[in-house]
Amino acid sequence: MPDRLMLPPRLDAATVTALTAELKDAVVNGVVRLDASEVTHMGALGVQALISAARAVTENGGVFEFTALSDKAGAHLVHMGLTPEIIAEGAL
Amino acid sequence: MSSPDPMAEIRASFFIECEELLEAMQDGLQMMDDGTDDSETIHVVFRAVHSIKGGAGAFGLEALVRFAHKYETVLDGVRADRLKTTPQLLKLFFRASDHLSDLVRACRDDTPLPIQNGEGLLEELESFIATEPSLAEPEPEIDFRPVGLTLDLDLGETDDAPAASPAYKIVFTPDTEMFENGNDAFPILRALSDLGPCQITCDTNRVPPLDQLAPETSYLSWTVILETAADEAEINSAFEFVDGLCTYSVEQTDAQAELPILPALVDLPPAAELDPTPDPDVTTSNAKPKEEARTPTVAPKSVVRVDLERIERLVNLVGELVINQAMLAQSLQSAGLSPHSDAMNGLEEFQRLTRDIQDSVMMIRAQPVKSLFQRMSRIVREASSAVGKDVRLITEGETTEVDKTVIERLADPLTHMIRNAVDHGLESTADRLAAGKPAEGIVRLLAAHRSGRVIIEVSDDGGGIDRARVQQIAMDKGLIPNDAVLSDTEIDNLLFMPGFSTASTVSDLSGRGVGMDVVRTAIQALGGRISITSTQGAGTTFSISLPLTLAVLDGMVVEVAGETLVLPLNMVAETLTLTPETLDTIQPGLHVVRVRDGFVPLFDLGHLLGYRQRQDDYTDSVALLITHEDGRSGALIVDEIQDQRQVVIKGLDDTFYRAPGIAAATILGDGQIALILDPTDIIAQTPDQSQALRAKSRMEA
Repeated sequence: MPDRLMLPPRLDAATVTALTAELKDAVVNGVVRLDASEVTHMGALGVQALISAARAVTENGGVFEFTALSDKAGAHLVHMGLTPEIIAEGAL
Repeated sequence: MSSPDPMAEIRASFFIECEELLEAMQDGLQMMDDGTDDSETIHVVFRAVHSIKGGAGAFGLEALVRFAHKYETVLDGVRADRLKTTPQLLKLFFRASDHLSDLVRACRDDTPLPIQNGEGLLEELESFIATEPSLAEPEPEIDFRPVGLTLDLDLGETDDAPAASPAYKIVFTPDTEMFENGNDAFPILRALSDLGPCQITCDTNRVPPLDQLAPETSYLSWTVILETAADEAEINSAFEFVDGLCTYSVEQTDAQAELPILPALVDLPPAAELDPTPDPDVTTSNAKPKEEARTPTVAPKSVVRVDLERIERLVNLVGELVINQAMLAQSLQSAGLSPHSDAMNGLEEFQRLTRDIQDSVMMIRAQPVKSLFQRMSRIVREASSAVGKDVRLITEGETTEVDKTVIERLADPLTHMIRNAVDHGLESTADRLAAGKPAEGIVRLLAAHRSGRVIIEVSDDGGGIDRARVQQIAMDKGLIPNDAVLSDTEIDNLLFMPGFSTASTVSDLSGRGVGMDVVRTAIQALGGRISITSTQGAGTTFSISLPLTLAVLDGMVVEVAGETLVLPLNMVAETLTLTPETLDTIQPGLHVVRVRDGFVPLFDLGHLLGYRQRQDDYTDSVALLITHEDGRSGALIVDEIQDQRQVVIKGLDDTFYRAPGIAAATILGDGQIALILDPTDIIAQTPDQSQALRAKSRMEA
């Protein structure tokens, strides 16, 4: 199981179920590295799945981090009052 | 059965809204062109373009977003008084609007984008942006940015000096349905941040552990502290596209105290996204602040979009109701009931109600001709540009309502007529100046209701029809005899003859010998008539008269050889009783009737429709005089005129043989099916009679 998860271009209602399944698989390893370089639409459903996954990893002392982030994804997070770091910490 | 794709429905809905936005944009530009110096007008145009851009972003329509972005940037320059509205700039705005419309429709229909036209326009728009450095903006991000569009221009704004910007606390919680419908939270939050400096906090407390997470359920909510000069209505407009799909509250608050500035707003790139400086929307709001925060008090006109198929079904059902009511009336009459009986009185009321319902249902199909006129506005711009003439289109009666089908089928004929008006009707600029006219030619498009019909007029202030030239061309082409003596109307009507063209050169627009005959055929297919009036040196007017609807027809019910037939009442000029004095026989089987100073060929309907043999003598028969706009006429012989009544038109299925002279069918009150005739076609199908008439006329002369 690769520890680097490539996020799809759009994190929205259409992709969030598949993303959640991938996150569930990924958190088992205790290390989740996200590549959001291709993300053009960082939707709220995707963000809440990431937050939930981050909590699952960090509560067990694992690693959850973004290795790359597109400008758009970053901007969308800003508009939602979030940063990659806040998400990685489980937004707690 | 598969359920409809929700995204496809949302997309379709976006394009329907685009049409409304494009209409608002055109209206605004037209008002600006007409000299309206109202800052709200440019604001409306800007917001229309901005909303199209926002919606296009949500669907990843990048070409549309990019063009709209450049366009709105220049519009914003005008809006903020950084650019002056010049005639040159207005023309650019019109062309940009046309291109934006093309892009929207190409995206909607999945057809190739008209990129080539856009490149030049983009360069022109960029040249305006380059002249004003403050207009330079970063490339747009392809995302949904909802912007409230207010089409009502009277917003009651004041020019009072602004007070310090108040702060608002906005709590926003999306429902799960909001995401199901393709919306997302960040565009809403960004629209809020566009209104002024803000602090955004995301509440993640409701997000469950991963193994309990229902991916498509909404768990997040936001609190926004927003400092803005915008009023509550503008804040509310950020939620306009998700109304009913989220819960939110807006209340004034003390801005500085409540929340610390989030790291999110100071740490992360890109800087352009985080810049708390209000965007042009807000700049304008600051320049023209509202009196006080207020909520809109004028309720928008309530509109429901209905699938056309449902309306068609309703129209058909009402048609059945009309037929059923007529049947009932006939049954009661046959039963010998007294006209004063309760049943007959009730029937009378039933008839009145049926008529009212029918009128109301027909009104559902009616639409203002405004959208059609706006298309013609573009045709004028393109045609005038192609022939190098300065032309202004003046429209009147845009709110006149016409059946939707009529509007759709009028587009092509009107396009022909408008192009002809620009190309042939109006003189060249040099000729106009020489004739003492303004350089700018006028093409006028008018719509009105008159005598239960719709009148559409296309007129120009050009040189009028050169009748001598028209007649000469008709002779040269062998369309009329060289010694023909024609009235002005007859000469004008030569323009409608197939293959007739006065154009000495073939231009991109016209002069190919097709046009006005096609126009007349199209108008007649709609149950309409077209006529010309022209004054030398002053211009020409083409006048189209159309029925209000294609679903019902005012008909004359006649009997021929035991068959009941219906003729369109508007085609019947008068009824004649044939007498030995008025009847004349040119040769066996070829009869004419004298009507005042002329002869009109007689057509025996019973024979022409194959019901019976030709008769030898038509004395005391009844004939219906049919006249055409082109001056031709004929008299149709019938056995009896039964009634004049409104009938419901029932189209004949394509699988039936398309019999000449038969337009459609209807069901009469007694349940009998009656054919609706097309008298023009009947007369056109029997050339012998016309030849006979010409022979008779020559003989008389």
